[in-house]
Amino acid sequence: MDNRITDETVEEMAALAKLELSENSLTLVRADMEQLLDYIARMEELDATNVEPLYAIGANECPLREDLITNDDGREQAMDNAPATTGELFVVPSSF
Amino acid sequence: MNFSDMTALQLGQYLHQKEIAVGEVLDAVFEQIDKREEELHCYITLDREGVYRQAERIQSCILTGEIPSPLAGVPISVKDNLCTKGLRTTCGTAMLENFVPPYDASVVERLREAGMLIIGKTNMDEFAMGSTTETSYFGVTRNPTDPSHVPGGSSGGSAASVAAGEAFAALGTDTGGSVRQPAAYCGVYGFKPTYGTVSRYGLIAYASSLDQVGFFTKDAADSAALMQYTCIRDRKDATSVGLSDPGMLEKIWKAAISKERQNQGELFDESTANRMKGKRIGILKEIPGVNVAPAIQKAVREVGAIFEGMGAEVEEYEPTMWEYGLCAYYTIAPAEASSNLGRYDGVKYGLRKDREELHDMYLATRTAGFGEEVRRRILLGTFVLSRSYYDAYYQKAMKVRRLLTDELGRAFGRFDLLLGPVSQQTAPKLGVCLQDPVQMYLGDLFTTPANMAGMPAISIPCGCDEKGLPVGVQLMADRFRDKELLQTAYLCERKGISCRNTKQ
Repeated sequence: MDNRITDETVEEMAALAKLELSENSLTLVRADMEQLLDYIARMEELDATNVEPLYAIGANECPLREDLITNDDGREQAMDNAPATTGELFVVPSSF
Repeated sequence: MNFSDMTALQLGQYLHQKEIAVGEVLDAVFEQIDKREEELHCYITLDREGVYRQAERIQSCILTGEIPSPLAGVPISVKDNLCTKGLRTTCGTAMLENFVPPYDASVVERLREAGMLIIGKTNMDEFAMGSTTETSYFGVTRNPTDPSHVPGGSSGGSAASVAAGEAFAALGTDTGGSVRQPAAYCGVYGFKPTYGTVSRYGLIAYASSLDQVGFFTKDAADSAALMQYTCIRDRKDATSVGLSDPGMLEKIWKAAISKERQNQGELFDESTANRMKGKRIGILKEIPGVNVAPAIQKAVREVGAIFEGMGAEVEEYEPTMWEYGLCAYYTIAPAEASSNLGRYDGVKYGLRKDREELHDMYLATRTAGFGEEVRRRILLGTFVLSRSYYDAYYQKAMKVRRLLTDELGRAFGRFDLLLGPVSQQTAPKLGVCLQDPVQMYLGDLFTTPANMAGMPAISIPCGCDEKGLPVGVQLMADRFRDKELLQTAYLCERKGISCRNTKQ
């Protein structure tokens, strides 16, 4: 696979990852990604046509529990590290 | 009494026999910290007040004879990606610089119940992404043996704290080698248990299918004891299965502290020698194009020869999938990281860079909060999970993971244990590795297979190279064979194979 990527692709990925790219860094980041993709593309040498992907080790079933709230007294604690709250709600800038 | 060289279990014995007080031990540890911390920087946060309070409680327990475990009263350091209630937990990142968890990680809770004292939180590569502890937002940690060299990573602070006598044991985490490699670089034991045996609840996630809590210790018996008190199935971690019959680990550390052993010194008795008879050891064959330092190769060969001398059957093992496995690791780990680190958005905790609009706030916060290596891996993860690349990279990596795991499964049909290097080199100098990320990633070749297959592995210190830098060798076993692995590591010690290199 040709691992050369366009500036647009890099910008698209950065937008998905919610990371800002300064104008100066775009070229550097693109070169960086190309080098990394080149490296992991070595997997192409392997024929894995009929191989089942392994998503997780030893995960056969997800253990279930009763659908009961067991920690409803943790609100204050949970909000303690928040940058801005009303006491009950997290406060964020609006999205427009 | 000079107890700084004691192992955790030995110290526990002296404490419980009331030959020293817990407070005295803490005084000595802090004296050592004050002596070396400025140079080494093992810790991000020290909890002087809190730990003396813990010490008082444990001392009362000791006096009344209600001793919770053989490790009670022993000071331990904790890698800063494990949540400690009320004690700042930064994960080595600006994003969590002031984060104070409202809960303990399950493994921390277990060790508190066992009476261990948490001295502080150790330095680490940012979000556990790195192999040198140089990507930490809080500055580097230096190798206690030679401070112009790295301690390894990402659990460099934990490894260095034990090597430098700033803790008697340490918790670390291992996603691609981050316990075993710094252990090798610093000359201590580094044990990564089977995936799922130690709960990840409260471990700040990097790559959830690969992360595992591990231990830094001065000997194998200490790792066995730590494992015993932490390998309990935890309902708060859906991937946690624990280890059946953890009491079997007791045999290892009880043998270590038994009166008989103390009297006999280094005597290696018949029954212990027989344990290796007939054991099948696979010694890793050289991989073409991969240069392992002569001192490391020599150590691996020597350990193999000693096993053979003890009656083990040692044969060469030639893996075919390890190099591809490393490519797959550097596809899967960044992919999982890009997902896990999506939670850092400045809303509920952590850094926030205020902006007028919500998405601008996300962008500004994340760009400011994450360092270069973290941003690199998040971007790479985003790439491999994106529509155009998913099949070629992520899906392919999942298949390579299957191939690698199957190959290792077959290997453990032939062998009881695999023996080989931990890394290609001993600790490099500071400032070298970050210049070439791919070169740095290649250093994880020998450690990532155990994470990819969820298998236990341990780094055993085996002397030093010609520069005086510590050398480690790695033993690996099949899933849930943690006890056999620790037992063999313990035998290495008894036979004088391994030796800590702790220049304090």
